[in-house]
Amino acid sequence: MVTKDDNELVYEVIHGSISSFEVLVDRYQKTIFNMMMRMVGDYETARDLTQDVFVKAFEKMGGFDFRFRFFSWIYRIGVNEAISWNRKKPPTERLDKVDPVSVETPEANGSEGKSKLLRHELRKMEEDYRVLVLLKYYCGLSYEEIAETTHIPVKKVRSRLFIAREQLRKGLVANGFFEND
Amino acid sequence: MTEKEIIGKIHRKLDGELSAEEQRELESYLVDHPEAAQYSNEWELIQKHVELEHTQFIDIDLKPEILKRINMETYKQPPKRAEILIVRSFWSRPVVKFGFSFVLGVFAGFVLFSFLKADLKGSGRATSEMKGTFYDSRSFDNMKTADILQYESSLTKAVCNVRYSSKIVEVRVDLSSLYPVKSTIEFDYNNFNVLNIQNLSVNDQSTAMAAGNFIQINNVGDNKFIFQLYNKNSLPHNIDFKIYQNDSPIYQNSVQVNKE
Repeated sequence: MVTKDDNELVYEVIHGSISSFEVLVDRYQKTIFNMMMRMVGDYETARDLTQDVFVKAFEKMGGFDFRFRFFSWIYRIGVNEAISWNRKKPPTERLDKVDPVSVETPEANGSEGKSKLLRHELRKMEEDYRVLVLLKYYCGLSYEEIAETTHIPVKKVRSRLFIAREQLRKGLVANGFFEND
Repeated sequence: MTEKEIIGKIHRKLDGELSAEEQRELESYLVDHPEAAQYSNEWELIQKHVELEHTQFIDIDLKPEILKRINMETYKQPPKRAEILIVRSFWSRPVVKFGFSFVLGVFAGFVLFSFLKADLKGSGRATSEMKGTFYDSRSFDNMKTADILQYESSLTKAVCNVRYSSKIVEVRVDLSSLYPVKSTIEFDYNNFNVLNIQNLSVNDQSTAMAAGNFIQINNVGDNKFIFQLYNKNSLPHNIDFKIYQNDSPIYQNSVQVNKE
Protein backbone atom coordinates (compact mmCIF):
# COMPACT_ATOMS: atom_id res chain seq x y z
CA MET A 1 0.00 0.00 0.00
CA VAL A 2 1.34 3.41 -0.96
CA THR A 3 1.60 5.80 1.96
CA LYS A 4 0.26 9.17 1.00
CA ASP A 5 1.99 12.23 2.31
CA ASP A 6 0.18 14.64 4.59
CA ASN A 7 -0.49 17.32 2.03
CA GLU A 8 -2.02 14.81 -0.40
CA LEU A 9 -4.35 13.71 2.37
CA VAL A 10 -5.24 17.31 3.18
CA TYR A 11 -6.09 17.86 -0.49
CA GLU A 12 -8.38 14.83 -0.41
CA VAL A 13 -10.05 15.98 2.81
CA ILE A 14 -10.76 19.36 1.22
CA HIS A 15 -12.40 17.47 -1.64
CA GLY A 16 -14.62 15.51 0.69
CA SER A 17 -12.66 12.43 1.77
CA ILE A 18 -13.34 11.68 5.43
CA SER A 19 -11.16 8.55 5.29
CA SER A 20 -8.14 10.72 4.49
CA PHE A 21 -8.92 12.78 7.57
CA GLU A 22 -9.01 9.58 9.62
CA VAL A 23 -5.49 8.77 8.39
CA LEU A 24 -4.29 12.19 9.52
CA VAL A 25 -5.92 11.69 12.94
CA ASP A 26 -4.22 8.31 13.27
CA ARG A 27 -0.90 9.83 12.33
CA TYR A 28 -0.88 12.74 14.76
CA GLN A 29 -3.28 12.12 17.65
CA LYS A 30 -0.75 10.34 19.87
CA THR A 31 1.94 13.02 19.54
CA ILE A 32 -0.53 15.85 19.97
CA PHE A 33 -2.24 14.24 22.94
CA ASN A 34 1.09 13.63 24.69
CA MET A 35 2.25 17.14 23.91
CA MET A 36 -1.02 18.42 25.41
CA MET A 37 -0.43 16.29 28.48
CA ARG A 38 2.90 18.04 28.99
CA MET A 39 1.36 21.42 28.30
CA VAL A 40 -1.72 21.21 30.52
CA GLY A 41 -0.79 18.38 32.88
CA ASP A 42 -4.25 16.85 33.03
CA TYR A 43 -5.44 13.74 31.21
CA GLU A 44 -9.06 14.76 30.63
CA THR A 45 -8.16 18.29 29.55
CA ALA A 46 -5.50 16.95 27.19
CA ARG A 47 -8.11 14.58 25.68
CA ASP A 48 -10.60 17.41 25.14
CA LEU A 49 -7.99 19.74 23.74
CA THR A 50 -6.67 17.11 21.33
CA GLN A 51 -10.19 16.60 20.00
CA ASP A 52 -10.60 20.36 19.68
CA VAL A 53 -7.35 20.57 17.71
CA PHE A 54 -8.53 18.03 15.14
CA VAL A 55 -12.03 19.47 14.86
CA LYS A 56 -10.55 22.93 14.39
CA ALA A 57 -8.07 21.60 11.84
CA PHE A 58 -10.92 19.93 9.94
CA GLU A 59 -13.00 23.10 9.90
CA LYS A 60 -10.09 25.23 8.75
CA MET A 61 -8.62 22.79 6.28
CA GLY A 62 -10.18 24.62 3.32
CA GLY A 63 -7.84 27.48 4.07
CA PHE A 64 -4.76 25.29 4.41
CA ASP A 65 -1.76 26.83 2.73
CA PHE A 66 0.05 24.13 0.79
CA ARG A 67 3.34 25.96 1.02
CA PHE A 68 3.53 24.72 4.61
CA ARG A 69 3.75 21.22 5.94
CA PHE A 70 0.70 19.77 7.65
CA PHE A 71 2.48 18.78 10.86
CA SER A 72 3.75 22.31 11.48
CA TRP A 73 0.23 23.62 10.88
CA ILE A 74 -1.49 21.18 13.23
CA TYR A 75 1.21 21.47 15.92
CA ARG A 76 0.73 25.20 15.80
CA ILE A 77 -3.01 24.80 16.30
CA GLY A 78 -2.19 22.47 19.20
CA VAL A 79 0.27 24.86 20.80
CA ASN A 80 -2.20 27.75 20.45
CA GLU A 81 -5.02 25.68 21.96
CA ALA A 82 -2.91 24.73 24.95
CA ILE A 83 -1.64 28.25 25.48
CA SER A 84 -5.11 29.79 25.29
CA TRP A 85 -6.46 27.12 27.63
CA ASN A 86 -3.68 27.91 30.10
CA ARG A 87 -4.42 31.62 29.82
CA LYS A 88 -8.15 31.18 30.37
CA LYS A 89 -7.51 29.36 33.61
CA PRO A 90 -7.34 31.37 36.84
CA PRO A 91 -3.71 32.37 37.47
CA THR A 92 -3.46 30.17 40.54
CA GLU A 93 -4.18 27.05 38.49
CA ARG A 94 -1.87 27.82 35.62
CA LEU A 95 1.03 25.46 35.48
CA ASP A 96 3.64 28.03 34.61
CA LYS A 97 2.45 30.27 37.44
CA VAL A 98 2.37 27.59 40.09
CA ASP A 99 4.72 28.30 42.92
CA PRO A 100 7.29 25.53 42.65
CA VAL A 101 7.53 25.29 46.42
CA SER A 102 3.84 24.54 46.78
CA VAL A 103 4.03 21.61 44.39
CA GLU A 104 5.60 18.55 45.78
CA THR A 105 8.85 17.84 43.95
CA PRO A 106 9.16 14.18 43.05
CA GLU A 107 12.20 12.39 44.32
CA ALA A 108 14.74 11.43 41.71
CA ASN A 109 14.93 7.81 42.78
CA GLY A 110 15.37 5.29 40.01
CA SER A 111 14.44 5.70 36.38
CA GLU A 112 10.77 6.36 37.06
CA GLY A 113 11.58 8.98 39.69
CA LYS A 114 13.94 10.75 37.28
CA SER A 115 11.32 10.79 34.54
CA LYS A 116 8.78 12.25 36.96
CA LEU A 117 11.27 14.91 38.02
CA LEU A 118 11.99 15.71 34.38
CA ARG A 119 8.27 16.20 33.68
CA HIS A 120 7.94 18.25 36.84
CA GLU A 121 10.79 20.56 35.84
CA LEU A 122 9.37 20.86 32.37
CA ARG A 123 6.02 21.98 33.75
CA LYS A 124 7.76 24.62 35.84
CA MET A 125 9.33 26.21 32.78
CA GLU A 126 8.03 29.37 31.19
CA GLU A 127 5.44 28.58 28.57
CA ASP A 128 7.44 29.96 25.62
CA TYR A 129 10.42 27.81 26.49
CA ARG A 130 8.32 24.76 27.33
CA VAL A 131 6.70 24.86 23.89
CA LEU A 132 10.11 24.79 22.21
CA VAL A 133 11.37 21.91 24.35
CA LEU A 134 8.21 19.92 23.68
CA LEU A 135 8.40 20.49 19.95
CA LYS A 136 12.06 19.53 19.92
CA TYR A 137 12.02 16.47 22.16
CA TYR A 138 8.45 15.24 22.18
CA CYS A 139 7.44 16.00 18.62
CA GLY A 140 10.96 15.39 17.28
CA LEU A 141 11.08 18.52 15.15
CA SER A 142 14.29 20.01 13.80
CA TYR A 143 15.20 23.63 14.46
CA GLU A 144 13.90 24.59 11.03
CA GLU A 145 10.61 22.78 11.61
CA ILE A 146 10.19 24.45 15.00
CA ALA A 147 10.81 27.79 13.34
CA GLU A 148 8.12 27.00 10.75
CA THR A 149 5.68 25.92 13.45
CA THR A 150 6.21 28.81 15.82
CA HIS A 151 7.01 31.52 13.28
CA ILE A 152 10.21 32.31 15.12
CA PRO A 153 13.45 32.67 13.14
CA VAL A 154 15.74 29.62 13.30
CA LYS A 155 18.50 31.60 15.02
CA LYS A 156 16.13 32.66 17.76
CA VAL A 157 14.81 29.11 18.13
CA ARG A 158 18.39 27.91 18.70
CA SER A 159 19.18 30.57 21.29
CA ARG A 160 15.87 30.15 23.13
CA LEU A 161 16.25 26.39 23.19
CA PHE A 162 19.71 26.81 24.60
CA ILE A 163 18.32 28.93 27.44
CA ALA A 164 15.48 26.46 27.96
CA ARG A 165 17.87 23.53 28.17
CA GLU A 166 20.05 25.33 30.68
CA GLN A 167 16.99 26.16 32.81
CA LEU A 168 15.97 22.53 32.69
CA ARG A 169 19.43 21.27 33.59
CA LYS A 170 19.82 23.68 36.49
CA GLY A 171 16.40 22.65 37.87
CA LEU A 172 17.35 19.01 37.58
CA VAL A 173 20.74 19.57 39.24
CA ALA A 174 19.05 21.41 42.14
CA ASN A 175 16.69 18.48 42.71
CA GLY A 176 19.36 15.80 42.69
CA PHE A 177 18.63 14.38 39.27
CA PHE A 178 22.26 13.43 38.73
CA GLU A 179 22.95 12.01 42.14
CA ASN A 180 23.70 8.27 42.36
CA ASP A 181 24.71 8.22 38.68
CA MET B 1 38.38 26.24 23.27
CA THR B 2 36.31 28.65 25.35
CA GLU B 3 33.60 27.46 27.72
CA LYS B 4 30.93 28.85 25.41
CA GLU B 5 32.33 26.95 22.45
CA ILE B 6 32.45 23.72 24.44
CA ILE B 7 28.85 24.09 25.62
CA GLY B 8 27.80 24.88 22.06
CA LYS B 9 29.60 21.79 20.79
CA ILE B 10 28.06 19.55 23.44
CA HIS B 11 24.59 20.75 22.44
CA ARG B 12 25.37 20.27 18.79
CA LYS B 13 26.53 16.77 19.59
CA LEU B 14 23.20 16.09 21.31
CA ASP B 15 21.43 17.34 18.20
CA GLY B 16 23.57 15.08 16.03
CA GLU B 17 25.04 18.06 14.19
CA LEU B 18 28.73 17.43 14.89
CA SER B 19 30.94 16.05 12.17
CA ALA B 20 33.06 12.97 12.96
CA GLU B 21 36.18 15.10 13.19
CA GLU B 22 34.54 17.62 15.54
CA GLN B 23 33.24 14.77 17.66
CA ARG B 24 36.73 13.28 17.98
CA GLU B 25 38.07 16.72 18.88
CA LEU B 26 35.38 17.16 21.54
CA GLU B 27 35.95 13.73 23.03
CA SER B 28 39.68 14.27 23.37
CA TYR B 29 38.96 17.65 25.02
CA LEU B 30 36.55 16.03 27.48
CA VAL B 31 39.20 13.51 28.53
CA ASP B 32 41.43 16.36 29.75
CA HIS B 33 38.63 18.51 31.22
CA PRO B 34 36.56 16.68 33.85
CA GLU B 35 34.16 19.59 34.44
CA ALA B 36 33.19 19.74 30.79
CA ALA B 37 32.96 15.94 30.76
CA GLN B 38 30.54 16.08 33.70
CA TYR B 39 28.40 18.66 31.89
CA SER B 40 28.35 16.43 28.83
CA ASN B 41 27.41 13.37 30.91
CA GLU B 42 24.60 15.28 32.56
CA TRP B 43 23.17 16.13 29.19
CA GLU B 44 23.48 12.59 27.95
CA LEU B 45 21.48 11.47 30.97
CA ILE B 46 18.81 14.10 30.37
CA GLN B 47 18.68 13.11 26.72
CA LYS B 48 18.29 9.46 27.70
CA HIS B 49 15.35 10.25 29.95
CA VAL B 50 13.75 12.48 27.35
CA GLU B 51 14.01 9.67 24.84
CA LEU B 52 12.54 7.35 27.43
CA GLU B 53 9.53 9.65 27.59
CA HIS B 54 8.64 8.60 24.05
CA THR B 55 8.29 5.02 25.15
CA GLN B 56 6.01 6.21 27.92
CA PHE B 57 3.74 8.07 25.55
CA ILE B 58 0.16 7.27 26.32
CA ASP B 59 -1.48 5.46 23.44
CA ILE B 60 -4.85 6.93 22.77
CA ASP B 61 -7.55 6.60 20.15
CA LEU B 62 -9.68 9.69 19.93
CA LYS B 63 -10.82 9.07 16.37
CA PRO B 64 -14.42 8.04 17.18
CA GLU B 65 -14.95 11.11 19.37
CA ILE B 66 -13.40 13.43 16.80
CA LEU B 67 -15.42 11.98 13.92
CA LYS B 68 -18.59 12.21 16.00
CA ARG B 69 -17.99 15.92 16.36
CA ILE B 70 -17.52 16.36 12.64
CA ASN B 71 -20.58 16.45 10.49
CA MET B 72 -19.49 15.97 6.91
CA GLU B 73 -22.89 16.84 5.44
CA THR B 74 -22.94 20.26 7.01
CA TYR B 75 -19.30 20.82 6.30
CA LYS B 76 -18.78 23.84 4.16
CA GLN B 77 -15.47 24.76 2.69
CA PRO B 78 -14.27 27.83 4.45
CA PRO B 79 -13.07 30.69 2.28
CA LYS B 80 -9.56 30.23 0.94
CA ARG B 81 -7.41 31.94 3.46
CA ALA B 82 -4.10 30.79 4.81
CA GLU B 83 -4.43 29.66 8.38
CA ILE B 84 -0.80 30.36 8.94
CA LEU B 85 0.15 33.71 7.62
CA ILE B 86 3.74 34.47 6.90
CA VAL B 87 4.77 37.01 9.43
CA ARG B 88 7.23 39.29 7.75
CA SER B 89 8.86 42.39 8.95
CA PHE B 90 7.39 45.55 7.49
CA TRP B 91 10.26 46.23 5.08
CA SER B 92 10.45 42.65 3.76
CA ARG B 93 6.81 42.59 2.60
CA PRO B 94 6.67 42.45 -1.20
CA VAL B 95 4.07 45.21 -1.41
CA VAL B 96 6.24 47.52 0.68
CA LYS B 97 9.38 46.63 -1.26
CA PHE B 98 7.76 47.18 -4.66
CA GLY B 99 5.90 50.23 -3.47
CA PHE B 100 9.08 51.73 -2.10
CA SER B 101 10.97 50.93 -5.32
CA PHE B 102 8.18 52.52 -7.34
CA VAL B 103 8.14 55.70 -5.26
CA LEU B 104 11.94 55.84 -5.36
CA GLY B 105 11.89 55.36 -9.15
CA VAL B 106 9.30 58.10 -9.63
CA PHE B 107 11.26 60.41 -7.36
CA ALA B 108 14.53 59.67 -9.17
CA GLY B 109 12.81 60.22 -12.52
CA PHE B 110 11.37 63.50 -11.29
CA VAL B 111 14.74 64.69 -10.04
CA LEU B 112 16.42 63.67 -13.29
CA PHE B 113 13.71 65.31 -15.35
CA SER B 114 13.90 68.51 -13.30
CA PHE B 115 17.65 68.53 -13.63
CA LEU B 116 17.59 68.05 -17.39
CA LYS B 117 14.84 70.57 -17.81
CA ALA B 118 16.70 73.10 -15.75
CA ASP B 119 19.88 72.40 -17.64
CA LEU B 120 18.31 72.84 -21.05
CA LYS B 121 15.72 75.49 -20.45
CA GLY B 122 17.46 77.91 -18.20
CA SER B 123 20.66 78.07 -20.16
CA GLY B 124 21.64 81.33 -21.68
CA ARG B 125 24.90 79.98 -23.03
CA ALA B 126 25.64 79.59 -26.70
CA THR B 127 24.75 76.12 -27.99
CA SER B 128 28.38 75.46 -28.82
CA GLU B 129 29.18 75.62 -25.12
CA MET B 130 26.52 73.13 -24.20
CA LYS B 131 27.49 69.60 -23.36
CA GLY B 132 25.77 66.33 -24.12
CA THR B 133 22.99 65.30 -26.40
CA PHE B 134 19.51 64.21 -25.53
CA TYR B 135 19.57 61.13 -27.72
CA ASP B 136 22.45 59.29 -26.19
CA SER B 137 25.03 59.82 -23.55
CA ARG B 138 27.81 60.98 -25.85
CA SER B 139 28.88 64.54 -25.43
CA PHE B 140 28.50 67.02 -28.25
CA ASP B 141 32.15 67.83 -27.64
CA ASN B 142 33.12 64.27 -28.41
CA MET B 143 31.38 64.29 -31.79
CA LYS B 144 33.32 64.96 -34.93
CA THR B 145 33.06 68.51 -36.22
CA ALA B 146 31.65 68.80 -39.73
CA ASP B 147 31.82 72.59 -39.95
CA ILE B 148 30.71 75.80 -38.29
CA LEU B 149 28.82 78.07 -40.69
CA GLN B 150 28.56 81.73 -39.82
CA TYR B 151 26.64 84.58 -41.33
CA GLU B 152 26.56 88.13 -40.16
CA SER B 153 24.84 91.20 -41.57
CA SER B 154 23.54 94.38 -39.95
CA LEU B 155 20.13 92.77 -39.40
CA THR B 156 20.85 89.06 -39.09
CA LYS B 157 23.44 86.95 -37.41
CA ALA B 158 23.62 83.14 -37.60
CA VAL B 159 25.92 80.40 -36.39
CA CYS B 160 25.28 76.83 -37.47
CA ASN B 161 27.49 74.28 -35.75
CA VAL B 162 27.24 70.78 -37.23
CA ARG B 163 28.80 67.71 -35.63
CA TYR B 164 28.28 64.03 -36.16
CA SER B 165 28.90 60.59 -34.84
CA SER B 166 28.29 57.25 -36.56
CA LYS B 167 24.60 57.40 -35.59
CA ILE B 168 23.75 61.02 -34.93
CA VAL B 169 24.17 64.34 -36.65
CA GLU B 170 23.61 67.25 -34.31
CA VAL B 171 23.02 70.76 -35.61
CA ARG B 172 23.11 73.65 -33.18
CA VAL B 173 21.79 76.88 -34.57
CA ASP B 174 22.07 80.31 -32.95
CA LEU B 175 19.94 82.79 -34.87
CA SER B 176 19.62 86.46 -34.19
CA SER B 177 17.53 88.78 -36.38
CA LEU B 178 15.82 92.11 -35.92
CA TYR B 179 13.05 91.25 -38.43
CA PRO B 180 11.49 87.90 -39.34
CA VAL B 181 13.80 85.58 -41.23
CA LYS B 182 13.31 82.04 -42.40
CA SER B 183 16.04 79.47 -42.24
CA THR B 184 16.14 75.91 -43.53
CA ILE B 185 18.35 72.91 -43.00
CA GLU B 186 17.92 70.63 -45.97
CA PHE B 187 19.06 67.04 -46.39
CA ASP B 188 18.27 63.87 -48.28
CA TYR B 189 15.69 61.78 -46.47
CA ASN B 190 17.43 58.61 -47.69
CA ASN B 191 20.41 59.54 -45.57
CA PHE B 192 18.97 61.36 -42.57
CA ASN B 193 15.88 61.34 -40.37
CA VAL B 194 14.85 64.02 -37.93
CA LEU B 195 15.02 62.63 -34.40
CA ASN B 196 14.62 65.66 -32.21
CA ILE B 197 13.99 69.35 -32.32
CA GLN B 198 14.86 71.18 -29.17
CA ASN B 199 13.77 74.79 -28.97
CA LEU B 200 16.35 76.14 -26.65
CA SER B 201 15.79 79.63 -25.42
CA VAL B 202 13.26 80.38 -28.12
CA ASN B 203 10.80 83.28 -27.92
CA ASP B 204 7.07 83.16 -28.71
CA GLN B 205 7.35 84.57 -32.20
CA SER B 206 9.87 81.95 -33.36
CA THR B 207 9.15 78.37 -34.37
CA ALA B 208 10.95 75.35 -35.72
CA MET B 209 9.29 72.53 -37.62
CA ALA B 210 10.48 69.41 -39.39
CA ALA B 211 9.45 67.67 -42.58
CA GLY B 212 10.86 64.56 -44.27
CA ASN B 213 13.84 66.26 -45.83
CA PHE B 214 14.16 69.64 -44.16
CA ILE B 215 13.80 71.60 -40.96
CA GLN B 216 12.40 75.10 -41.13
CA ILE B 217 12.97 77.87 -38.61
CA ASN B 218 10.90 81.03 -38.49
CA ASN B 219 12.96 83.41 -36.42
CA VAL B 220 12.59 86.83 -34.82
CA GLY B 221 15.01 87.96 -32.12
CA ASP B 222 17.73 85.89 -30.47
CA ASN B 223 17.07 82.17 -30.43
CA LYS B 224 18.91 78.92 -30.02
CA PHE B 225 17.94 75.56 -31.49
CA ILE B 226 19.31 72.04 -31.41
CA PHE B 227 18.35 69.49 -34.07
CA GLN B 228 19.28 65.88 -34.12
CA LEU B 229 19.22 63.78 -37.23
CA TYR B 230 19.57 60.05 -37.42
CA ASN B 231 22.66 59.24 -39.46
CA LYS B 232 21.33 56.38 -41.56
CA ASN B 233 24.34 55.10 -43.43
CA SER B 234 27.43 57.01 -42.22
CA LEU B 235 28.41 57.87 -45.80
CA PRO B 236 29.56 61.36 -46.81
CA HIS B 237 26.53 63.60 -47.50
CA ASN B 238 25.81 67.30 -47.60
CA ILE B 239 23.45 69.22 -45.36
CA ASP B 240 22.40 72.66 -46.68
CA PHE B 241 21.88 75.61 -44.41
CA LYS B 242 19.90 78.53 -45.90
CA ILE B 243 18.63 81.85 -44.62
CA TYR B 244 15.80 83.80 -46.32
CA GLN B 245 14.57 87.29 -45.76
CA ASN B 246 11.17 88.14 -47.30
CA ASP B 247 11.44 84.77 -49.10
CA SER B 248 14.66 85.84 -50.80
CA PRO B 249 17.77 83.84 -49.99
CA ILE B 250 20.40 85.89 -48.20
CA TYR B 251 22.73 83.06 -47.23
CA GLN B 252 23.31 79.52 -48.41
CA ASN B 253 26.05 77.04 -47.59
CA SER B 254 26.64 73.29 -47.24
CA VAL B 255 28.27 71.13 -44.65
CA GLN B 256 29.57 67.68 -45.35
CA VAL B 257 29.14 65.07 -42.64
CA ASN B 258 30.63 61.58 -42.43
CA LYS B 259 33.80 62.83 -44.01
CA GLU B 260 35.93 59.89 -43.10
